[in-house]
Amino acid sequence: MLELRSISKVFGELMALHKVDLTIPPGKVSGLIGPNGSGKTTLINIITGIYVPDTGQILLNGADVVGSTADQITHRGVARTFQNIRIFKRMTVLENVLAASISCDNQTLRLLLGRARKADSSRMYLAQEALDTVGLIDESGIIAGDLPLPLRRRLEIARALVRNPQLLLLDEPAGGMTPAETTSIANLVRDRIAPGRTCLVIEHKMELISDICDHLCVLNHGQKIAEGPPASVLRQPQVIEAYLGQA
Amino acid sequence: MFNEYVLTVVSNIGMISLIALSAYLLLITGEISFGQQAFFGISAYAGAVASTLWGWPFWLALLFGSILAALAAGLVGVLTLRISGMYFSIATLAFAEMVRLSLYKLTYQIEVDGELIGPNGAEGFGEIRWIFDHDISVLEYTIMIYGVLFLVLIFLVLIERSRLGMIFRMLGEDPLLTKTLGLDPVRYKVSAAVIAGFIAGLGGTLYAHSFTYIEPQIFNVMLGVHSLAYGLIGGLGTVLGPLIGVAIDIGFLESIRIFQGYRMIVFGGLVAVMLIFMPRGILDEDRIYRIKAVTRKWFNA
Repeated sequence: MLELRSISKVFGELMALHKVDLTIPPGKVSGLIGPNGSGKTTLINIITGIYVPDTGQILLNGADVVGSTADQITHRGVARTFQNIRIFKRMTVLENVLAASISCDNQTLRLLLGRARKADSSRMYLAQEALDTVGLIDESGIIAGDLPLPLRRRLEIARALVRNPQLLLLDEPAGGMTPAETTSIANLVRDRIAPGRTCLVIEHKMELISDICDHLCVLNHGQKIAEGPPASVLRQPQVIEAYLGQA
Repeated sequence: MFNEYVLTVVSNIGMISLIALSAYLLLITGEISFGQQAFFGISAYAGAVASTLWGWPFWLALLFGSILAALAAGLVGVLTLRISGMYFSIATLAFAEMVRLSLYKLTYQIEVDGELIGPNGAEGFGEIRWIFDHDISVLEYTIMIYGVLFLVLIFLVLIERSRLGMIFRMLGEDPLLTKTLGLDPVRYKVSAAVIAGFIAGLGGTLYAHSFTYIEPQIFNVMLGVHSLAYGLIGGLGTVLGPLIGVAIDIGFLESIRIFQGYRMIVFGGLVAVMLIFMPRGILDEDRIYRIKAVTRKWFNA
């Protein structure tokens, strides 16, 4: 599905990523963990074309996509959410999801000039289905900026789902949430989103990671320090040291 | 029947509304252009040359001037919208000044009915007498202006309801997010710039034929700054926003005697107050949403 080979990225003096190799197996939920500043979000930004790596290859279904722009990567079936939530705050919840599916069709002039909120279109059906999946269907008409944080995170997931992505990248889906809200998001990802999909989840919360991930990769100081099934990875001394300061 | 002064003010509101709408369209895509007066000016000169020197029918001249303005806007857009933000604003200002200063050097006069007419540098371009030659009254010309404005408003309302309009608003809120949703920001910003250039162009040719005399100084940066301010005062939530801004400035401040001499002070103060208390204008997106919700409720009741 997705394979990163020897990805490095330097920002000025800072080596954000150093020769990171990572394989995301198809149909599984992979987790990416690591302390703050370990390079997780940089890696997602590289996969989604926001940053270009200094060295290395990104193979998406076998094709090297280094140098592709963010919109081109999206067209290859990748969708994401953001650690610092990004939604169109001045649009309604439903419009946010509809906005995400605009580029699924070819951008012909006829389609571009067609109504964005057409009630009986397949786009509208898919948007409502995505909102239903994440439990936001009753909030469809609310201005997105008025949503509380946990629902904003769900809106981001609905927006990604509406594109029916081959690869879904979730950047801290439970960031800033209470334990109850985290459990609710974990249930949502495990039961409704992950089945039949390839996902990469970045998260700090170990209970969520060990609950939903089939495969885990740990970054520290821009380098991969462990990879494998969550239960064994989380027991490795270097992982414990990275998180707790000592083994 | 109608007071000629009132009609002049009303027609002026109509023409300036067109350049205000052009600045508004770019504002909703998140770009601040200080250069829409250039496209207004290009079309004013081109449209007037076409009708007065080449004898083209007015509507063809209007189309010619506006298409030329749209092409110029597209060119500036392609060259500058990759940089966007503050750099785009500076680039548009520089382009507009380049156009204005070039107009001081533009001399293209030919003999029409035994008289040399056409643009003549700093002396400007007079004798744009299509409305006199065709016996068009001020009232009739005002109706023509509002006909064009009405068509533009309908077009913009349709755009706002379309996917293209949604993309424009997405770009205005978060271009990076828009890009990660599979849309190329530059492509759509250039589209907005071309449409905005065309709309400013419509205003330019109408303006030249209304006043029958134009000179480079008319298309200075103050015209561009005002066009921007109209949208920011009236509101960025609806196409009616810029029209409210124009009506407040030209219909109220400029035409009421008590404000004369103080207009710029009052206008500047108004812009400052609006930016503090209503940064996206009177009819911003939030208020438009709430107005729509209330009207929907009435209809359903």
